[in-house]
Amino acid sequence: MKGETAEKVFLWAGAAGMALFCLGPFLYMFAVSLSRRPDLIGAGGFTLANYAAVLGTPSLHFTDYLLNSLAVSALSAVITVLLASLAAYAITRLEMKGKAAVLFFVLAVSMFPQVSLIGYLFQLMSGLGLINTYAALVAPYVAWILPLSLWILVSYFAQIPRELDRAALIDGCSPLQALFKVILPVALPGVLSTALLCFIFAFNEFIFALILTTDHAARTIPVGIAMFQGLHGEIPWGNIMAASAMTTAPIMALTAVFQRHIVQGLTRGAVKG
Amino acid sequence: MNISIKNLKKEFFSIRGKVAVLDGVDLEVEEGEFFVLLGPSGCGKSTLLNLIAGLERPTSGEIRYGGTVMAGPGAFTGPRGRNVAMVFQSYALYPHLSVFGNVAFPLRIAKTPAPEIKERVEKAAAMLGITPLLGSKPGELSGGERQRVAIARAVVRRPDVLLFDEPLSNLDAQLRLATRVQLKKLQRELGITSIYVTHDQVEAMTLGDRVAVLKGGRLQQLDTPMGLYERPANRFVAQFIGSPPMNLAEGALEETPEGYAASAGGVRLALLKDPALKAGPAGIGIRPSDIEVSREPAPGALPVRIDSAEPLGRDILLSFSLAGAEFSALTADKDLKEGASAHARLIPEKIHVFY
Repeated sequence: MKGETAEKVFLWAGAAGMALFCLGPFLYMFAVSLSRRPDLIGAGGFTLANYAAVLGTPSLHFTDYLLNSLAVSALSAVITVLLASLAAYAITRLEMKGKAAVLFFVLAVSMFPQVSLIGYLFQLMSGLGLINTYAALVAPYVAWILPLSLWILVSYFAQIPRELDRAALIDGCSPLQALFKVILPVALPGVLSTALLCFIFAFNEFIFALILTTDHAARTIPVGIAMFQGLHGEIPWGNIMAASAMTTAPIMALTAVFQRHIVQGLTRGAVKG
Repeated sequence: MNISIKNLKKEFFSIRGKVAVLDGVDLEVEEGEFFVLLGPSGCGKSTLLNLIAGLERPTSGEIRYGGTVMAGPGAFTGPRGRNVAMVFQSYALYPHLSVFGNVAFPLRIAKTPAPEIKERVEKAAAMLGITPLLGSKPGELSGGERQRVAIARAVVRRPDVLLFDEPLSNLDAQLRLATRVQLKKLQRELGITSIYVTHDQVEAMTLGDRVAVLKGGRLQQLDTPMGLYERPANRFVAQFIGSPPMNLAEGALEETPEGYAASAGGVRLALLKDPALKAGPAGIGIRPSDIEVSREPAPGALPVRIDSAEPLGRDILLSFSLAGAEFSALTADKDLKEGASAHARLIPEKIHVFY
């Protein structure tokens, strides 16, 4: 009995410690965003003024940044999943030589540190005249997220019995119809969670967005918030935290809703293949 | 639609190197026939079915559908162009579609007008007794129901050829029997040329108008079920068809003034009168039901000692060693017990000789 009680105490203490460690920054963020005096939480009472300021100051471009982020992330996610689905179908279903080589090459590509690419990418995008456009961000994002989505989708597709697409072919489908009418609908939970992962990856990306955008025409929210500046060079913590809170909320909501699928998708990609 | 297959070969490349799964198969499937491909696992029967369906390309050889070359040198038509339907062992129903959606799927792909789809799906559903299930998802159905949906999906488009890939293997014994009877009846009513793959010789015998026995990628024998049973072409067919399997002892035929003496292991088993026989080393085969076992000596009977006696219900399956081989025989005599001495007579007219 005693051992069991001790075990429970440790378990709860451990879980609580872990949760506090992970969620601490978020709690701090919300607390600061609601404080009248950011340097002294709670002193002077709580207020929604920071939120009002962020949303109500046109020169901060908060809504522009947020819309840019949503658009860039959504575009990246859709394009990535579409390409990854076609590639995963070819790798799992079609007769093709060197499938393993393709998968490992793709993995190797994803190992490049972002920083090592950024100088060249800037040159490339300047040369193409794409700096400060959505395209400048979407293209590298797709390349960057594609390997992970490909690996996840390959493991999803590999679990769908081959007889299903053979049945589709017999029933008169072309290979492309078999993919869109049978394989993708059957793998829909996996495809959706992969798309969501891509979205989150793109949404959180910082370095590319920092270098490849110059103003609110394309700048995304993580960079935008980092560039908030108050009058006289002071750092407006209240505004930054309020903006961060508003940015985090939709992602947290999405993650909470699709939590089960995401975990499945991540572990599948990790364990199999 | 009759199907003709000429010198069909299929090779796969694996880690072990080149493997010939089909090594020159020739056969003709007649219009409206229920044709069975029978063989042990790995004999190439499923590969042959996939080649007929157009799911795989042959390495060489030719497949014709009623005179049209579907696969051959420089020509290949995929399953889309063949108007075939297939029923799979795992049913292969589309899990995201309802039963109606599953049955309607081939018609929708063929862009059939919606009212006609509805009418044809309902007709097929009625024929297979799945009308109450049309709104369900495949996940909610039992194995037998799923198989009937798969069959409905196959027949709804009125294919020229119906292919079955071990469709009853996943059903329990009772259901398998009932579905087998239904399937045969359905095929008779529809009159669609059907090719059925199985490893179960009982299924092959009961369903097939004709049965092709395959082993090691080669056709062993093509005959009616009774023809296979009564006139097996070689040792493999002899022992694969029939249950319990045929007894086989390796020995020789010797010409004597009275006829051919069949002997094995130094024991003369029987005297054969057929003039078509010839002397030399031979396998001597006889079915368990063609051996008469009695407790008393009889003319031409050989003394044996019963090693085991297994009651099967109507008959008792005896086993004993004779002429250096294990023999089994069926008897109705309940007093023949394990360890008893008895006399076994091989009915000479029922002996099969394999050179």
